[in-house]
Amino acid sequence: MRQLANAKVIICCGSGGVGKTSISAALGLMFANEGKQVLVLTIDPAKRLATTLGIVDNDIVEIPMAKNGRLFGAIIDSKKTFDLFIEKATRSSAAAAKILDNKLYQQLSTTLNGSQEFTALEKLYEAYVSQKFDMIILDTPPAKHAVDFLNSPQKISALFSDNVAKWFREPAKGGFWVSVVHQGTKRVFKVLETLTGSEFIGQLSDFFAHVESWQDKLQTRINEVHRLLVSPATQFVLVTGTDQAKLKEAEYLAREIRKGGYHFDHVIVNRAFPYGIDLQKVLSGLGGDPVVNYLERLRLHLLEKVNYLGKFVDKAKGNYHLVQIPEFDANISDLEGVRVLAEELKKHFA
Amino acid sequence: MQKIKFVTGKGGVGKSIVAASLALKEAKRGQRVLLIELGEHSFYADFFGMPEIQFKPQRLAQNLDVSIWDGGRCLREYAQHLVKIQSLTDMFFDNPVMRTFVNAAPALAELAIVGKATSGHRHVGPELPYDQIIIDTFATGHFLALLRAPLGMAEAVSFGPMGEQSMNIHRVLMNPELTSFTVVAIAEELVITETQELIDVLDHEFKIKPQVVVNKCVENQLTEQAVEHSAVSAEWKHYLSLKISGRNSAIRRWPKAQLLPLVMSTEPWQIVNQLVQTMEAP
Repeated sequence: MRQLANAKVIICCGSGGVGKTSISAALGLMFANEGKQVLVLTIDPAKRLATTLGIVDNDIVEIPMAKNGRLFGAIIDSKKTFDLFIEKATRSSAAAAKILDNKLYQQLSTTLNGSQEFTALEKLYEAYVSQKFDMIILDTPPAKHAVDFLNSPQKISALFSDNVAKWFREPAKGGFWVSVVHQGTKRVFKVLETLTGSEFIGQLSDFFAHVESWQDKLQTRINEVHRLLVSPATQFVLVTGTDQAKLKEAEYLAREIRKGGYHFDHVIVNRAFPYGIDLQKVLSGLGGDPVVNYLERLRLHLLEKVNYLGKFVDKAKGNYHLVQIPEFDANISDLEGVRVLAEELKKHFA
Repeated sequence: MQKIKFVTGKGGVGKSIVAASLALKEAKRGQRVLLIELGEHSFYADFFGMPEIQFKPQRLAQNLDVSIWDGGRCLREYAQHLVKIQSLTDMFFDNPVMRTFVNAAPALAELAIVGKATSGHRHVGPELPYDQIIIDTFATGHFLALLRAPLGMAEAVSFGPMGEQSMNIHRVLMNPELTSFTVVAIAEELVITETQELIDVLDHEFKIKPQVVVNKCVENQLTEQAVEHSAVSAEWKHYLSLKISGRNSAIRRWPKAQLLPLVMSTEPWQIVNQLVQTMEAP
């Protein structure tokens, strides 16, 4: 098992609602307390935690919580990061402006499958090569399915491959049908036109005509990021909850991460059991107390969940370093919550 | 007239189970209901212990069918409807460039999903013979992207079939007679705050007023006082009083919200049936 403390980059992944952002921040604080300079990157759509931590916009700011080292954070603004990437990648600002003004680009750059993931990784890579930090923790963007994060760079990469771009570019250069020689290709285009209309195709061709100027840089960057992700400098951490569906998803995701050749040894089960309560102890009181009756049923239910989790824990044995974090008081403030979590994590990762 | 309902909420609040319960409740009162989940990985297959759930509706209970929609499949069906010739549709979707393009540009896929959901009212595509369709949609961020897709596309491409269809889809989505929205939350401060943010966006951007459901609540008759006077340990008292104060705070925030209990079972039908019972109670 690799020590998490040795990682230069930590990727926190898992399904929605399991507390990934809190765990990412707490891991950051824990390592900063050990004296490191740590950056936590997050795409928190509600921006709640980020706001409490004092993180604004796309900029990296210091979060004054660490005892020894320093803790920094940034919310990734997907659109801004993509626009910035294009401005840097295109050779002239006129070319950049043409892409940024394309209506289809405006629509696609925010909704493009994988664009959020790409920009998260772009931001991560930028921070990594700046060498300003000892460790960078990425809280992965919420995905429809947690495994989407792993597949998205390839999707973007495929879209901007020369093959695709050339295809769409040709019509813009020589009129719609002139350069389309192949009969099958012509038919396929005709279907696209029926589906979307000629204005859409015009926008599309225009977009891909300008893609030419930065597609090499995009491919290079996607390759560089991939190399960083599979290198031993990067470790994946899987965060999960205890619901049966979440555990099944976690098992699936764990297999996919290993299959992808990433370095992955640590699983964190968040809110595994209520803090400070002995679930083995039967509750009985003067018969008829509704509170006792309710809590006894709740205790048995929580115990059933803990037992179910036990099977998951058994399967992980020898394969992963699995950590169970209790459910703390959900009503304590965000900052205090991160501190408490960091202390708890320290017991397992020190 | 066919009714469409979208169910959303922050991850981990149990929105899929609430969506299934809403669907079962309607089916029980005689409505023909289609419950739809989105994406490529089925939750309901795991949850209900079915071998698989497909694009084609399958029977889940009396009057209730279930199916899974992904953008590519919806787009293909729409293409088939427009192009009419099967071999041509196949050629289009089997073309590697098109496949890559459709894969990466979810604006198209999302448009196809809301397009299919609203197809009955726009008289486009194959018939969906149901009184109600209930869609267990994505969590907050992706849900908003889904909702924004038609108008965004209509603005980017204002002419031709794409712009026109997009505008029509948007109109059906925004018509409260046809389309309704349910937002699921749980009674914890942080979730309440984030859910309110979503509700605010829905209101400001779309004038949508969703029904709010607060899931996994402690029973109504449990009060802070009863907990204080009960004979359980301080830890349990603390644990329970937090749950109660969360519930009370949700009630204060959303007086009209439907409260659903934490069902202490791991058996799927028991969970769903108990939620339906609560929904049916006066």
